[in-house]
Amino acid sequence: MNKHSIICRCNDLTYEDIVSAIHEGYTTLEELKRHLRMGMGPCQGRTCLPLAAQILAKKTDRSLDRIELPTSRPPFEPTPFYLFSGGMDDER
Amino acid sequence: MKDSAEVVIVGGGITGCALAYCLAKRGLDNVVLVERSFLGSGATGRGGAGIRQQYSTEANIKLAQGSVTIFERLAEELETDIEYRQGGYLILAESQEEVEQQKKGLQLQKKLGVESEFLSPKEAKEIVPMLNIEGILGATFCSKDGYVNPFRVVEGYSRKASELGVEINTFTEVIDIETKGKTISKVITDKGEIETNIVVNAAGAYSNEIASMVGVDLPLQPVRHEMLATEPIEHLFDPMVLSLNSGAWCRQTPDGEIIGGMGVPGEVPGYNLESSLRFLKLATKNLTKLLPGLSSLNIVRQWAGHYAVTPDSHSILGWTKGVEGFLQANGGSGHGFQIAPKIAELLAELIVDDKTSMSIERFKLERFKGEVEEERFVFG
Repeated sequence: MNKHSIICRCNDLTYEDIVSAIHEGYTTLEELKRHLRMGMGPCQGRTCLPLAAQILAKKTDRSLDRIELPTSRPPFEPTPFYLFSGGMDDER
Repeated sequence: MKDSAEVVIVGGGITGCALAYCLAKRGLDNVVLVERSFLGSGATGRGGAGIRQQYSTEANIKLAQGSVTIFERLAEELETDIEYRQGGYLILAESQEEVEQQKKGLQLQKKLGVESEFLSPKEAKEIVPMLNIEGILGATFCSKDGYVNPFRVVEGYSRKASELGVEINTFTEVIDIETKGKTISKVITDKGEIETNIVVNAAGAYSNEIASMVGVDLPLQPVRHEMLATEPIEHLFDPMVLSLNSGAWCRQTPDGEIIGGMGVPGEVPGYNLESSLRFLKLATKNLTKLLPGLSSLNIVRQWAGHYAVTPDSHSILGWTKGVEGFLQANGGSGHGFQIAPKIAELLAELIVDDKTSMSIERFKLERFKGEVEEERFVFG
């Protein structure tokens, strides 16, 4: 992994972006998520959060099991409005 | 952590962070802020971060106007890109009664200098071309309304406050507040004790937990409000779009996501933060009724936050009768975020000069003993 390695593919965040945010004092995944918008794209953190958790553990000298994962938000898979609202707009 | 302070602020949302900054700017060099989780972890970071001046009471309009003036210069002052956009608020009316209510609101807003106007459905559609105007009788619009990124605002305020000497303690929980006689004397946290004569209760929906530590009961209830966000798409519209009828609202973020919400009828007050399917069903139904083009858009997440609701939907601000040095800065009722910058300025004046440049009489805790005028324009 080098400083240009992409960690969050949805929001184009690199290893360097994550590390500098940690140095700025964002030392939980919840804060990194909100500060960088990491894990808030279509994949909702499936790729980046486990990677960021490892970086965070290493940089803050904690073991990985001490890094809390952010709350998982439904609907877990991108799901269109019409599946909840009860119809496509052209069906009404 | 410091063991004594001139002022201890409880709560690291926008109100607490903005007040910390305003106090430091006015020369107080021993202010401590205590936040149970991370900054902006409560309602500040969970809401829509919309900023409007279209309110129904003079007191709220004045706080909102003052706050817009501050938001307009805030990026420069805090040297932070707060992602402030003034795309307007488009508030839709679907019944004659709502139209009347809007016209009454407009009259008052105009009198106080808010540049809001009444639009026909056709004019509303010119602003938001994808709007379905079937059933819409009219709308109000204020082009100076808008939104920010709430985390950037909190980051900006807290960073500047720190630079000016404020000690900010995150992940620090207040366990108790002690008084000597009827005066505040000490704040006890899980990380240590701080001697102080002034405590600011800016704990949002949790303010009653703080107040009860000194035997004060606030008429404030936490009520869950849920939100959703979609995947990003190309730019569709600028304003915040709201329905007066359902309370449903949405806007597009600078990144292209549509974020929206609405209050679920019959929501029982409490600290519940779970996501519900009922909300998704209601919100998608009501939002696609207004904006049918959203129908095939993918939702990527939903979450919840709390409104700190008071009986008249106005904040609780000012000193507390009976407990010397206990200042209330809570009860936002769903719009606390947007009026927080002005509230912070006024409360800093109150603490430093013992008077405010704008009356906050309307917001005092003691008002609940008499008749009060309710804010009618509450959304989400």
